[in-house]
Amino acid sequence: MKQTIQSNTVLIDIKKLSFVYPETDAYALRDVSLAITRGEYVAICGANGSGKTTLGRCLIGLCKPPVGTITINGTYDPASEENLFAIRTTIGMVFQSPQDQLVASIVEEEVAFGLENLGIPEEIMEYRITKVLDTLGLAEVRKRPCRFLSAGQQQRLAIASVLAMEPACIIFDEATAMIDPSGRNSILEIMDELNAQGITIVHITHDMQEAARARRVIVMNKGNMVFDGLPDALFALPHLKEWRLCPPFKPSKEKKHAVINNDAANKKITQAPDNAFEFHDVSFNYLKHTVFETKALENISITIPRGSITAFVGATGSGKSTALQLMNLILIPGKGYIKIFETCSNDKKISLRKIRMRCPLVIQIPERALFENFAGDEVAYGPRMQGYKGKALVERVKYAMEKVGLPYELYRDRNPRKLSGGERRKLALASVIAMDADAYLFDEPTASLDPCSAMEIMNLILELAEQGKTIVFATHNMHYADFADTVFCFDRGHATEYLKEQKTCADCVTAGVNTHSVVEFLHEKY
Amino acid sequence: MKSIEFFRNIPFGQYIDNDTFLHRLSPAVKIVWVFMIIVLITGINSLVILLSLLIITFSLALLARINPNFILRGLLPIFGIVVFIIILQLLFFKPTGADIAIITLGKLVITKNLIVTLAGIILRFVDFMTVVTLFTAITTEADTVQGIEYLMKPFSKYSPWVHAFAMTINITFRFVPIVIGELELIVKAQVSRGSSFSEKKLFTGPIKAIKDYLPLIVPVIVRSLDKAMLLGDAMDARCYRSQGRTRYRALKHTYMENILLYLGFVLPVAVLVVSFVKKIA
Repeated sequence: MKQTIQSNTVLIDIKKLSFVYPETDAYALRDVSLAITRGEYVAICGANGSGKTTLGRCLIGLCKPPVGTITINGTYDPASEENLFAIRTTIGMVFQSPQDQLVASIVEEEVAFGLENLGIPEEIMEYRITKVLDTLGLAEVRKRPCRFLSAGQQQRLAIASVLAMEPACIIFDEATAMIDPSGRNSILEIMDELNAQGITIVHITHDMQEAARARRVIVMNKGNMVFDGLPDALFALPHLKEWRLCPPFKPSKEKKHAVINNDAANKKITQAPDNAFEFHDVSFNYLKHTVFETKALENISITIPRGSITAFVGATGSGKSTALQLMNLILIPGKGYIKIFETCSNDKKISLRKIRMRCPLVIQIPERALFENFAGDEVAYGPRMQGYKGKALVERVKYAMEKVGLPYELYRDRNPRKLSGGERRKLALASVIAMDADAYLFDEPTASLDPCSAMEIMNLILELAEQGKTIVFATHNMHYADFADTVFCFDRGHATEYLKEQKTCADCVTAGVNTHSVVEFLHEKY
Repeated sequence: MKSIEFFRNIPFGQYIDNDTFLHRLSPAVKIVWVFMIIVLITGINSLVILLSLLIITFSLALLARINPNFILRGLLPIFGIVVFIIILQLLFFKPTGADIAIITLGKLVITKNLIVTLAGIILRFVDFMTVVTLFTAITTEADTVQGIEYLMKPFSKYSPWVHAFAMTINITFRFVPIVIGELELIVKAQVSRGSSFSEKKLFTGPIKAIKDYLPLIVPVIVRSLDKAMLLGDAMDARCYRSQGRTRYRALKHTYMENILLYLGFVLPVAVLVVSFVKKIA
């Protein structure tokens, strides 16, 4: 890109910045002062709700702080409407959700959108679009509809769209949080390359391994900037946990992880003679018999014993979520059948409701689906469906809310929409845990959570397993997959069990790049 | 037993990427034709013309290599509305003296005019859904914006909001699948916790459906607004403005497209005038 490294030139200068969101009392940002020079690679870390995204949004004028000053490129202040155009041509932003930030329907039109806004002539536009699509490996899908790209490709497209505008700095706002490991690695490599070309990178993340790649780390905690320095200096601090952070994971030969209380994970499984779930040659296609028919699973035959912990790993679109939805009979197998606690999915007389309540599913980012006006009602929905009433119902709701760390008396009358991100996730989990079930299915339960919240959720899941419940969860985090008794590797609709003793997974090895990182990790780990 | 897949029966707003002349045709021409067909549907009473419009729409779908089943699936969600209207007509239709009674069931008299009226209503619904579904299947969102802007060019001198208006319509179309996706998500979360959402009873079905869907309206709207805010931020972050923009592949009409554009204006007006004159005569 055309920018050259101008070392020691301050690109972003923030002085005594404070911000409070309307209708809240707590500071999202409090007295934050920092300077970022051109060509730097800075990671901004912190727990969910610590203020890191607000800080990023203030830099490009999406939030207007009433107190403090921001200077971009020496002169521009994002608080002034007149400066926004100049600032947003200098600083680009890539957001967390790949789908939500795409404006156009076709790949090349998406890249063109920003250039059209800048008033770039058509010939130059053509050149820049071709260049960035080549750089980001999207040339082949140039004419494809954006929605048919994988999440990783969509995020690369979002980067391409910002990059085509030739900014001096790009803010990545948890841009890797919702994509699989192989997609994440490619985004991180792109960040390194862009920085090597002189573009300033501001990487907002709560993943400490990602933060460790930066040359400078800034830590936010409850709106305050509490650390600014080298990654190694940060990870050496003894009080990281106070900021709900933890040092990056380093592979160790011991199964027990230092930061997770995994007594439950290491428990001896007393396997009942029967299986909780049995897939018999199951295939499933989405939107069958329509033009959008997509193969999701093909001839899967796996078994999951009662009382075990099972992890599904694999790239986005590999079939993990589909398998979980089939296990809950939200989706019905197109071919083959599933035995769920001895009940066959192809038995026409079965009550879908009864089976679903025996193995409720926590969908991906479950807080999206909260629908009641009070937290207590949300948690009570499942048990009520199971027939709980009166005191027994209250007891179950109380138990579940206390379990996830949302005290019943304090939270029962609160509106779920007014809770913080982490609290909403906990509430969504409580609403399933409150059900008296034999198995619990979790679809990426720790996605988008900070390390401490993620650990709390994992410990909760492991506690359920300790009570003899069958647990199945899909994850992109290989460290969490490690806590399972059985790991199934999904790849393009096929599933293979990871064979711990043989330290290999035959299908995964031949599966290609999509699951390469999974295999690599599992090889290293076991 | 069926999987919970809402998109299965909602083809509206879903672009099908085929390389046909209808896909390549100027979006301005397509918009004019769709708009004029809608004018005809609402202004014409002739069953023959309404039926002809339906046949023309399906023929165009075949030319665009779109399976008619894809469009027919879109009719399933409006089935309930059509049945409701038929019931209202049956209950409140007043036959005139010249009308011919075909079936008499107690107080219920089904006359020739009633059947013609019902056929007209059903055909209008079906015509409308098919033509709009076909349009969204062969026109991308960016093309739709460009087409609207092209048609509103004469007004852009007087108002800076022409592009913003076009973009608003584009986003409205874009949000149809988003709203459906959000609805499906919440339904899946409820069903997974034991809701009987997908289990319909024959006679209590419509009432149960209303009871099931009502509590979902607020969360779906809230989620859709959240998504709209995110999209707005993403557009702002990429310097979106309604003026001073350039165009990647600016819309240029061929000679044939210009003829089709003018025909699109003239033909429906001619049909309406002829129909009106006939009525007076």
